[in-house]
Amino acid sequence: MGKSFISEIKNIDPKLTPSSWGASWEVRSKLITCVLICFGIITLQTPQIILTSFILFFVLTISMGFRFIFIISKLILLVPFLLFMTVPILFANGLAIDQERINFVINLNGKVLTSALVMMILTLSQPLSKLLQALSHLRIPSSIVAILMLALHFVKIFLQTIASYQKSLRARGFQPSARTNSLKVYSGVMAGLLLRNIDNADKVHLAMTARGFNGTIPTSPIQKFTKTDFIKSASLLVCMMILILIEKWWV
Amino acid sequence: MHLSDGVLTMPVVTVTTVVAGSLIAYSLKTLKQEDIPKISLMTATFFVLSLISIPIGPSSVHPLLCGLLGIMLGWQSPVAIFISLLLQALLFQHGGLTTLGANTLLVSVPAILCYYFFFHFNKNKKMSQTVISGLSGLIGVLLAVLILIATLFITSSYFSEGSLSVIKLLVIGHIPLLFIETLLTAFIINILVKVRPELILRKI
Repeated sequence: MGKSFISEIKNIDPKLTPSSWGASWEVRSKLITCVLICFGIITLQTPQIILTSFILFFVLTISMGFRFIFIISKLILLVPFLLFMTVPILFANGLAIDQERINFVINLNGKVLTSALVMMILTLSQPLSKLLQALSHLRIPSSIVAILMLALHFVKIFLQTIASYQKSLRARGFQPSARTNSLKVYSGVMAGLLLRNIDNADKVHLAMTARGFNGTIPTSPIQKFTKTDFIKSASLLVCMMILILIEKWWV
Repeated sequence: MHLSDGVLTMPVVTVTTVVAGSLIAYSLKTLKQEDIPKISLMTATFFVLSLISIPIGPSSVHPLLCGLLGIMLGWQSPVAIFISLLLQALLFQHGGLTTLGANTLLVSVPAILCYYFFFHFNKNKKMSQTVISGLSGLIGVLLAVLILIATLFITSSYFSEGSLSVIKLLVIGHIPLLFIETLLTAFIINILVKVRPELILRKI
């Protein structure tokens, strides 16, 4: 249950060296660039162009220093979702598969995988704390940033609590299933966690107010936006625009 | 229940992002500074609780808890849901950035409707509280699936074609969750009312 997610969270900090061009890229400009690219990807309609964009971003992630195996392991996580979407569409009319259907499926898979690569560049090329810090320096309501930062902190604690709950349930011979008795145990655990955290919420609020909390979580100054960051963002956005233009006028 | 980037078309993404943005903006208006720690804790709690997998045969399901979230947080639930989904996208790459609006709507709209359903029927005292809580959980999942189906249907007719279309598979896949969510919401609300009634009943 929680264990795999705990290890997932621990893996969130990248294995990139600080000298990697992805790791040294200023986070705000990286964030804006990646969001714009994601929106650009979903406007693409042609399988060849989508495949080109996939190859482009795959090469970019490799050039950042992500290991090939690591990228594949992240993309493989999407396979069940893609199979669930692809197989029923492909075989909707039995074995008679028309070209339009194949194109739709290639587009769908290509867009999902390319966007996943862009998300990987965004989230895994620097520590998550840096990304959240960058969010706080953008024009995002301070309450959203505060909730996001606090929630992330609490998530890490609760995942461990849930894992220990699971351990103690197993020690008491609990067999997880969807039966009513089992669901009663699940709801007991869930209600327990809720009650404990509602009580904690009041204490946390008092503690934060005592430390001068005014709705904004103070963060350290953000990395400076340099010419190199501009070049990185601009080159990627230009590449994306070229792909969109090629599709509009030449394909 | 998470739609990945690339599944929805640009017009659907635009509309869902704008609608979800408005919903979150309204939700933020109702938020006071002292609510921030509470919402953060509840966001984290629901995020973690929704990761609990309940085995069903060879597979497993994760509870959505939109009924419970709606009852507990009311109009503040869209903020909690948005943050929770953003964390899932950032931490595990579940969902995506362009589908964040659609995914937020999928859970927020049922949560808010469940909030009204629960407090309307609880006020009238026409049904037992356990039944109302269970029905809130059931309605939450039903509405979420309906919105998901509508979103996919608007995106492309391919999702609904064939005897075993994506939409049909989604409906079949969520049937166990209907049962589970009904029982879970009923049991959890029952416990909360017994232990800390002011948490639930203060809103009536």
